[in-house]
Amino acid sequence: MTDAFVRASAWWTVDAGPPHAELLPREQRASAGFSTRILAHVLGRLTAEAPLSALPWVLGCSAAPHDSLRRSLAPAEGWRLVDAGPATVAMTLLEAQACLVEHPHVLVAFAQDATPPYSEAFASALVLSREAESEDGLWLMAPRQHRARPATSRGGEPPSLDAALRLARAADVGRPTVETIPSGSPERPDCWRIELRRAF
Amino acid sequence: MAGLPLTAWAIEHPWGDDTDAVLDRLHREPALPPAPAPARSTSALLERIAPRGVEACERWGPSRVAIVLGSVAPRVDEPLLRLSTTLEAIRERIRSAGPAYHVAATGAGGAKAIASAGRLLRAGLADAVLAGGIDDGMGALVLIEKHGDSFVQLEASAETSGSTDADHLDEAAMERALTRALAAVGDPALGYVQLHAPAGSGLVAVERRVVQSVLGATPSCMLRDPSRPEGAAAGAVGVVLAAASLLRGFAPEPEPRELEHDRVLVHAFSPGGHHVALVLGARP
Repeated sequence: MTDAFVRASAWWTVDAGPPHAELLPREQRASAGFSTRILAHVLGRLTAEAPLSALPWVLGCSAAPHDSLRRSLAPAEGWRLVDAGPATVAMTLLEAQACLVEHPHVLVAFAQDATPPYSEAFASALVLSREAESEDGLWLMAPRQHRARPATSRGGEPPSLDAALRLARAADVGRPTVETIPSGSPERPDCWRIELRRAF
Repeated sequence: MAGLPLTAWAIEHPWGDDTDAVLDRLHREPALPPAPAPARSTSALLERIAPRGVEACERWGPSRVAIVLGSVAPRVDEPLLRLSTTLEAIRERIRSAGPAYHVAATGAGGAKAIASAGRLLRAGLADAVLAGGIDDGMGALVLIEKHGDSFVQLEASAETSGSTDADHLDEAAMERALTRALAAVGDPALGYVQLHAPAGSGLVAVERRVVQSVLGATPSCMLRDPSRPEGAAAGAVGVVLAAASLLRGFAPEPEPRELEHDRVLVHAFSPGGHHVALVLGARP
């Protein structure tokens, strides 16, 4: 099975202040959607860590990124927008991990618009590598199914990508963590387990 | 790279569900008839391939069988249409408990889903994947497995992106996709290249020019109706028709021509800048 190691991470929440979105051409920042601006802000923090335009992109979000973001960064290796309802975070990471059979690195990013009162807006991103690059790095295990009932839903709650924010925050400080998210099927009491482990 | 067998496929097309008949009719009567009702066509398509999906779940285990469907691309002002009903219907029908998701790309979603299927298998993240795309009145699903009996295999895929939109084809992005897919195969000899631009489109000449620059004088075919844009199914229908052509041993042209090489490259692109190249070949 192809391994995935975290090479870089970044995230944005409302606490971080206005998203600068400097990757977007100035004349297009105002017209870009909010999720595009926060995604651009987060990707801007990663440009020093990895040549984003040379990586394949895998995005988990409820809307495609604004054309201006795609055009300004020109991801030559293709981009993939994944949707799987409540399981979107797990499926997006799985799709990203699969990309590592063809590429040494992959960008996986998430953007969520605020859906009061259920969730707040955020953007997060990880650069994954198929080789571990440091002894204190983190290994993203392939999301796998876990027989457990997810936390009770409040009913009518839109699918949340919050697990992606928690993963990026943990990766940012090099902390192992486990996220458990619903499988997406109301009929099955199983979850997807996503784990960041110490690489060594 | 070892090929991945396409162990089953099914098509829903305005010309019917028999791939030979569809190929024949496409050349005689390129303008398509009215499409059947969406709900009927989706369930009919699923019913034709479901028994093979059930067998795959029994062979590999339900959690090792994935489903990847193409979907149309969302816009910022129009959030992604969640096709979870279709996805869940397929999961329930074949009794899969593995990964299941959509990859969104209007006009190339089906091809991207099949490329994703290949990567999931090669990464060891699944042992079988049911992949494709379903639109109103048109769709195609293929079952790709780690091992299995089949005459046709997925040999390689490559995805790139560029400035392609509805009126402009980014030749460099297309060239990269073709070159990478062929490099993964190692042998550039092709029976034909299946173009994506529909007959009559100004992009046909551009697509042909790129094929010639990468492959020289390789035959190319067009199978899409310009009056019937495909959304999610685009690319997946082309893959199934290419697989059927490999089985027949003839290129899908008005005057059928025997294939000189048992390998076909299917190219798909979308206004969102996506380019996908899929190489199918006869299994040795």
